[in-house]
Amino acid sequence: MHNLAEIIYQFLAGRFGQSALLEPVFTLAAYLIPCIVALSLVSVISGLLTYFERKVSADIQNRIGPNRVGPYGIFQFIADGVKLLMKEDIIPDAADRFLFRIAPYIVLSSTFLAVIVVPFGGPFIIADLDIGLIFIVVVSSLVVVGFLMSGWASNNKWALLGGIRSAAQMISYEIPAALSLLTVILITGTFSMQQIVMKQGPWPWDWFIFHNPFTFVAFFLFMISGLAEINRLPFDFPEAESELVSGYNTEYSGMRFGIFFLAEFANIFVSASITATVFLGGGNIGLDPYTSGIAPQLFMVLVFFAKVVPLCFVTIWVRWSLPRLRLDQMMSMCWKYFIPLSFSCLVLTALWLLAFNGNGVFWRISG
Amino acid sequence: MTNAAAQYFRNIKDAVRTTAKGMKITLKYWLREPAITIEYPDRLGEGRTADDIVQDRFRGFLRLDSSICIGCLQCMKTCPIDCILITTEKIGEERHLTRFDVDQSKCMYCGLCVEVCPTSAITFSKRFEGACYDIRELCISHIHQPAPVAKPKAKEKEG
Amino acid sequence: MTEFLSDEMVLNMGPHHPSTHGVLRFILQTDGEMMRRAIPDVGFLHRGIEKIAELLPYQAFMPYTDRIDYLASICCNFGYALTVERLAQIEVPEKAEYLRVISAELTRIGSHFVGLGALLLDLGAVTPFVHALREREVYNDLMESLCGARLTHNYVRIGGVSYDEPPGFREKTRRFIDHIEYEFLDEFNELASFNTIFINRMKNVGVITAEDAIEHSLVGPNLRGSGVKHDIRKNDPYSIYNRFNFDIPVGHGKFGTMGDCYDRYWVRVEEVMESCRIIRQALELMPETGPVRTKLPRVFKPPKGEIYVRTECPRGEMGFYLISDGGKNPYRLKIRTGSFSAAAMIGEVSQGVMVADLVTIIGSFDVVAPEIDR
Repeated sequence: MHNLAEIIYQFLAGRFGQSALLEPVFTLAAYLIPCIVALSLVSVISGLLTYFERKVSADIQNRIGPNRVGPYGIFQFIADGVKLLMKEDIIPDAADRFLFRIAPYIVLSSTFLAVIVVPFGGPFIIADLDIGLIFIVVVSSLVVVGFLMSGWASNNKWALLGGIRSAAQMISYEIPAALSLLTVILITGTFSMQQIVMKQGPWPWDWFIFHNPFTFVAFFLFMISGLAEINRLPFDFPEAESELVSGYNTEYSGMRFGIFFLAEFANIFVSASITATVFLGGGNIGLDPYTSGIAPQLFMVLVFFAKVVPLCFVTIWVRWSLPRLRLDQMMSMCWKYFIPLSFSCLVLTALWLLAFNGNGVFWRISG
Repeated sequence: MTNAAAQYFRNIKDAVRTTAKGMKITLKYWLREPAITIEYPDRLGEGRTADDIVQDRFRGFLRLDSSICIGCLQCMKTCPIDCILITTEKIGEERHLTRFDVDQSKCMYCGLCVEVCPTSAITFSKRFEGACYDIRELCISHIHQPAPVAKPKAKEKEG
Repeated sequence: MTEFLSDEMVLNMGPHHPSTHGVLRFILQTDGEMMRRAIPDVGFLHRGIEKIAELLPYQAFMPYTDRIDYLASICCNFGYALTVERLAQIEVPEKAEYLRVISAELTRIGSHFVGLGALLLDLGAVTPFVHALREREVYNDLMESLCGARLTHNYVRIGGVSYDEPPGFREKTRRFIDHIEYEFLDEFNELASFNTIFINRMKNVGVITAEDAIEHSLVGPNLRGSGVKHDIRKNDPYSIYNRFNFDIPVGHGKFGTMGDCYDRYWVRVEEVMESCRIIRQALELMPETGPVRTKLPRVFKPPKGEIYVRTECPRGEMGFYLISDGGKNPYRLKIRTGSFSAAAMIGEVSQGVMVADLVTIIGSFDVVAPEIDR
């Protein structure tokens, strides 16, 4: 299995020789470097996504959007980050100080953990875990803990409502999301993200979205429950600014608030990259990701991002087109529509695989 | 039972159809419609100033033509919030305007003073940029040294 | 069910909550997301406009009427001017009447755009709101070219209007209403009004029966949303409204029950179209030239007496009750506004709904906080 920490360790050990003295240093480096890589990746990507979102929303609304910092305002997110860093970090008097302080980091860490198993195309994956997909499903539910914590610790009723809403919503939507991912697992037989990519092909008919009609439905089910998982409109109940003022982050200010937003936008990216990996073939260009040269490997990264960026755009596009549902409607939508549909997709895919010996729909057409 | 099932699928169909329609419109805007924003103040376009972005009848800061002011105090009396202060003094034979202050920070640009002025001495300019560091700067004195009031010629002509 | 009821939570919504449309406060008694009661607390924007009227000459009070309902200032100007004119029996020139009607109906369009857009904004749809405001911007430009101000127009005067139409005004107005009626509203409805999520949020929420609506003296679109066909422009025509051919849209349960939030919303959408019709007719009939203002004496003193005049504002019936003691200031001026009764009704209909529905209900009544308090 491919693992960045292991590679670094072996590289260092090979370069400086193995010794009992240096081993803790190597181990530290082997674990720190992937962390730093994940952190900087997430920060930059979510920063660029905020810029992208603001530009897209501006275009949709006949506005211009950020255009002052840098060419076309592309460095706006850096200016925003600097501004947030310089803001006073206010902790309400009646808040539970400890929980209030750590809640944003828990939210953010769940996103980071998910980034670890995202294959960026080619060999560029921080750790190719055997249980990759399950790992993502598991760590993404950590967000709920952070949101509930922030809602409770703020000692603000609006924030509390937001925290409770987020718990109700994310736990419900985890089920259809996981079930629609499982349809693909039935086909691949592995949870490893890199393996899922390799089992698909470079062309659209090799992708799992077009494997059979039920994975096609599962793709959309996953997209929509992904929106609910990452709290985007039409499912942005935890922060619903017109109902709950700002929901769970009402009392947050300064960089702690910024971290919540960093996590939100990083979640968009993570969700889009899971969709691209599982349903759209990730960075697969028909070559082996490990043994081919550096040029094809970089091309794989390009292919991966060429699939992720449109998916991020769709997420943003939906947000600026639709109104928000009501809490009970959101729940009934999940339990009455999403779970039955995703479950039937799972069962029907299983039957399909049984009937056609594991082959996709294009295998039938091409005979 | 079949009715409920049909309703179930109709709901899905409706949701997909109306969502797609709405998203089509936003996509159209994203791709095609240009921004209508005027980038005030620094990118107004070739040779345009702040005055050009407001209409001709715009009610901006008040302006006084002291050469035709007859000192009738009509504007001061009609102002609902007393933001105009005029004093006249007799210097020699003639009445002189010694003070004509307009407190632009109080003014609500209703236009009653402009309408009531018999000689159109007080008019609206198109100036609207009133931001300053001290609110007292917005109390604008239109008379710096005593000026003789104009003879009410316009009225004589009318008569 | 009572055994499931848990402790009540008292929530303070406002006065600076994002969706209370100005400075309006609600005290919510909730059980989690479910609401037991919402008690409106008004008065944050009380500026004593009625008292100010007693201290000012009749003409000088006109700018203050702008501030009663800042989204529809010309309608308020119109009502006040009409009151004084009826009391003093002043004839208004023909052209001024047309200009008043055109500007008042344009204001109604502009005001409804904010009302519809803000409701959608409360439901989380930002784009329709911005699109509605984009169209309102055109209306603002029109009014700026007509009277020089964009929000507090102060255009109508006792005995006429302050300015004649600027050159090109008719053409621009015609283009604006054509765009609204034939292009913009269709697109807006596709984008927002007919969206399933939006319909589900709005239908069967905040239902008011016709009897309830009359009993709580709801007026304007909120009353008509409950199916009561009552519009001052038709039922008690003032100015020259009897010359125009237009309908009164009423709610008929388009998607849910009659008198729900969607009906009130849809009545407003249809009213925009009716306003377009009125403006189109008025532009045809308006004389090319003519005086726009009757000359009043410099110190204007209406005769002793009292009068009540009601007009149809975007937020319903606005009444001015004026007592004159023959002096140069009004003796007493009482203003009756539509938002006040609507604010009281919000508390009535929001029992047992969800917090999210309260936002919908407030939005569907289209209350403007300064109009409640005056």
